[in-house]
Amino acid sequence: MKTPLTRRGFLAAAAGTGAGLALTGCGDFEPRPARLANAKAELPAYVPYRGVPTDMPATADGVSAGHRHFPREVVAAFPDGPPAEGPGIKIMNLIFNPVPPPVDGNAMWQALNEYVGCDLGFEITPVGDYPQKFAVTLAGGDLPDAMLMLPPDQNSAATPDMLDALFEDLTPHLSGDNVRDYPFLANIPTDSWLPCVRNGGIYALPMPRPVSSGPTFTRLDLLRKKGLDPDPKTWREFFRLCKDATDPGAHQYALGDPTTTWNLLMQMMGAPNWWREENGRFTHYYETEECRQALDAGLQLTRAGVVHPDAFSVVGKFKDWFGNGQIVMHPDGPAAWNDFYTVYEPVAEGLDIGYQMPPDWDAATPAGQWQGRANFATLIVKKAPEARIKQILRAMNALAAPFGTDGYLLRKYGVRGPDHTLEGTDPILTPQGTAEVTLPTTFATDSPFTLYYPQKPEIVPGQYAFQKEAVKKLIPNPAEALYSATDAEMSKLFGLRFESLRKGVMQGRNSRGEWDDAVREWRREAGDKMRAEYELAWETRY
Amino acid sequence: MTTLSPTRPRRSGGRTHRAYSAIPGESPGSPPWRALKSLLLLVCVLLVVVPFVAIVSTSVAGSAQVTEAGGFVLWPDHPTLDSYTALLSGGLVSRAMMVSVGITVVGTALSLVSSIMLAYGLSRPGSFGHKPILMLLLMSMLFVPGVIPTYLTVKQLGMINSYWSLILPTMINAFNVIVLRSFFMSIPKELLDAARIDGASEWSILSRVVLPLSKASVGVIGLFYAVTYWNAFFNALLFMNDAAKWPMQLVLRTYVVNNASLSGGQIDAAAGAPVPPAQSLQAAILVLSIVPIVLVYPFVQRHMNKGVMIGAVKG
Amino acid sequence: MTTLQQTAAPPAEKSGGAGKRLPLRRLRPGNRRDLALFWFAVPGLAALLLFHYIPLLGNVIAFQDYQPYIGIMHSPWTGFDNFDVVFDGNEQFLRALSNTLQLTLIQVVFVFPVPIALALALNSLVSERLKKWVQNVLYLPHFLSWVVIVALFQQMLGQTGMLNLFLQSHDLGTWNIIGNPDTFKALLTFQVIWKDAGWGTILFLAALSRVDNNLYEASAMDGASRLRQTWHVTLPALRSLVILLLILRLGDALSVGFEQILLQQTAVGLQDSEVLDTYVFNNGLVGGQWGVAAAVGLVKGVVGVVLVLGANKIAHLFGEEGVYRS
Repeated sequence: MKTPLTRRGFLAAAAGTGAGLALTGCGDFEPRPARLANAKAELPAYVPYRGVPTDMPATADGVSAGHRHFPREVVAAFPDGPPAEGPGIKIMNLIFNPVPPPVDGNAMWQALNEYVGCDLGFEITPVGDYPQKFAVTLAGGDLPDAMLMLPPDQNSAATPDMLDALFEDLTPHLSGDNVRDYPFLANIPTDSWLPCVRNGGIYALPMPRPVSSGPTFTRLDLLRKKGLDPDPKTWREFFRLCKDATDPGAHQYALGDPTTTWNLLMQMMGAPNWWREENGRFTHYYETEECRQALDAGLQLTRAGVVHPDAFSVVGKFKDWFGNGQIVMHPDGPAAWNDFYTVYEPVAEGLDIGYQMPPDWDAATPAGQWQGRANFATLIVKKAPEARIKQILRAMNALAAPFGTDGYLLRKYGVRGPDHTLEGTDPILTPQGTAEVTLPTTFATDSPFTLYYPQKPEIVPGQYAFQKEAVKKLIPNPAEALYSATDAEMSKLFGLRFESLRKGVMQGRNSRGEWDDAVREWRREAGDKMRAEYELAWETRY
Repeated sequence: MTTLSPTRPRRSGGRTHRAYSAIPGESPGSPPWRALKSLLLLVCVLLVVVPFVAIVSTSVAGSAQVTEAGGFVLWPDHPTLDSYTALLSGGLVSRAMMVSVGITVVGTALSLVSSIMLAYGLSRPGSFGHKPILMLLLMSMLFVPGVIPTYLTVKQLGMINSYWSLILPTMINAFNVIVLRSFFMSIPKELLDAARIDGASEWSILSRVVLPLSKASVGVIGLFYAVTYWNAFFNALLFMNDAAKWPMQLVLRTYVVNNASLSGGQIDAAAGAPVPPAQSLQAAILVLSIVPIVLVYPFVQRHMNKGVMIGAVKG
Repeated sequence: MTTLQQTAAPPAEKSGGAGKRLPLRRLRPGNRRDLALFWFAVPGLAALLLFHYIPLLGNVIAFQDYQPYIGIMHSPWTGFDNFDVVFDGNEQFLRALSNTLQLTLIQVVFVFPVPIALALALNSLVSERLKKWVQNVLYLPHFLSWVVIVALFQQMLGQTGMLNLFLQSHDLGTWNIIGNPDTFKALLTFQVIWKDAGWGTILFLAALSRVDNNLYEASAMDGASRLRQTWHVTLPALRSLVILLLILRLGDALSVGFEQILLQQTAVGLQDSEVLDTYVFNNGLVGGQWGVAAAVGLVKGVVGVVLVLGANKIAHLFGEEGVYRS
């Protein structure tokens, strides 16, 4: 059996890989002009879903809806039966969690296929390896029906030309009122659609995330025990709080993660969220005075000993430190709020998590809150006949069914019985459910973020209050929805260099002069080009 | 796989050795030298044992103790097998283990056969094609093909999502072949020539003279292959789209590496990544991924006793 | 009989013999045997060509601005542009090169001999059972991935790690090892030894298992001391293997601990931690510059060839077999 396969395969492989050699000189690819890549498109209409009332409604400026309890009457998302019957759909995406059990042993996955009307084949890759897998899959040419695409600055292969060549322009299906055919996609706010636009068309589906981003979480229980005010108003007060909260003898420190700590310092000064746009001119945060001040402040924090001594060298330990009280303040993403309670409440007695807004730098310099990316990533759909595209969109529409529907319940809490039990009207995951619902539907598309925590409904109003406060001070990143080839190619490289330097300066290992040199080099080799590209893109798009 | 020479006397190496260890040459040397050596080995063993005890302890410690310690614990207060039952209940981990065992067994067998043949084929300088093939082998260690062309080749061969993609591309490891070849070449030429004069075919020389004399080295190279197959995850990452077919190491990766967010450092996961799986779960899957392959070594070790060569020559 | 046994022991001694007999066999008409040997090599050779050399053709992307979806056929040709990263005297590249060479040197000097010494020590243990146990323990770390090892070291040696907690509780201050640029290379080296020294003994133990016990017996009867025995009987048995491995290691001189370093890189800063492989990763693959990665791969290959062939020649000058002999 082996020999014929090998011989035939050998020739095929030789032909496949060798074709490039035979046809040398064929390098006929020309990238499209930036103006075209960033052209605007008519966005989908925003038609909010109003099926499930709440006293904490979503707002136009980006506050997520909050719910204390799941409605008693679960709304059937598709009363007329499964919406996307037809051949199976392959979706390539990623996962942060351990992989879920395969479909034949996964009650939630099976029920999901039934609910959608066709087999959803998730091809899962561990998150860190995704860019590699993405590039390789593109090169192979045999694409799944839909793929998760990380934003260009995390995935250089996400070029507008690639989208144009291989993926469907969804504009005819989704722009303006056309999106009403897919009511749950129409329920996704406009902010999340902006990054889906390339080449003057809608090329992707959003995976919405809350723009309010996350707060600095505080261990209220521990701070109260020390009689400290958990809510500093200025950098000075914050610094004092850090000092007071630190007790090396008890292995307790104020802060852990140097990256998010530095982000917090930047926000205290209202510094740019990567880029700042004024009258069409772009400034990167590396270049700002705020950045240099934040470095100084970071060094002060380290010198004062309020940063965990291992903070600069550990990998992925910060959440655990926050959970076991080795650090008492921790800036993190919005999803961490519920996670902290789920994971650490059983082991941390009296766990009480509060939130802190970035304190103002001083009276003259008010703080801001960096706006979170409106999407984690986007979902692109392989070119296909119209009927197939419609089927896929209907399936994705089903995956975007919002809170209160059976679709939402199924995606997040699985099947009643094996995956969750009811407490009142609220689903509580069983161990089996916890393993099964990691099926990454949330990395295909998603409904808008909803504040809801069945185990501890009383925390939801606090989460809602945080979002209301946060959206008033949001600092957007003007480049979020735009494409710059230079940024895609260079930002990670410089990101690493600057991360290394930033950690160095914050520890006093590198000088600020070195930082300034690096910024000059960045400008010369990448920054000024990026700026020009973004300014042009901005002018084209808005 | 290959039959052992029937002429080789079934004198167990262990017994041979024990007989010899009584002789003066095997005595452990002067007391201070001996003490120093023992001390050094003891330190080495401790340096390894302590972390491994920590891993095993963590895997059976309750989550409260693990969270309190903020990582590994040295000794579990309240041992529990919760982590193991949680891992094995989903069916994914046990299936992945079967996949890994299958890949390792089949892969090692194929690799060993083809490597032994290749090494033996290259063991006589001057034979037909000897130099160019040896050069190709050597150069393959120095020039490594890129990820994408390898993927394209495997795809052209129709092996995406097939278990063969985890075996055939890594079937020949040049390093192993070269080492095996050097072991083969150290067999006394007189033995081989004697067999040739007797009119033995190359097959029977290989199976009746060379292999019986090379049990230790073949065992070691087999172990190298087995461990490579066992530890491999990257090809599975590229070639296996269906997580149900993943080997153990790739499943392990989603438990241990993923949340480190630096398996490539390319994705901003500093904020917004979910809480990593409990450390006890990570430790448990680590233990599960190590135990099966560790069990292989003693079988190889059996052939590493002294006196093998002399026994055969005398026979 | 006795002659046979003596040549049996130290593999190195026979290399000369093989060379001498070569013309003799050439004269024989029996090339059929040679052809038979060739057929032995065919299956392995086929796998090598199919899965190594055909994909290797794809390395022409070293001369392209390769984009995965466009393919080799249509990606624009860029001549030697991708090689700029190696040859334009970029300060960061030179630093990476210097770190790489330093680490290679350190590892050849301090890491390479450890498994040999360990194997000798194990080999001299009287109790066979003890020997097996020690071996079984020492080779365990090989099965841990770098992520786990880095985390373990962090927890043992970090500022709040077990060692420092112990030191603090005895008022001995703290010892900053992790995340300290000054000790970084030492840390890397120690980690490598910890992970692979035990594993590395396996090959040497296999080689030692072939040493003829009669030789020990004979030398002991001659009244040779323990040390002399090691020198005259045990080490020669390992010599050709050691040289072979050393040559092959040189071929890899430009690759050191990619994943290991990537994991610990930002903790100590790029200045002291960037090596060629991480440099290529950060400058090439992360930004999707596949062509650059392929170009550096080619350069590394060429350097490897020069080093291996050179080292092989030197080995021949000392009468050793080396990797191969023409």
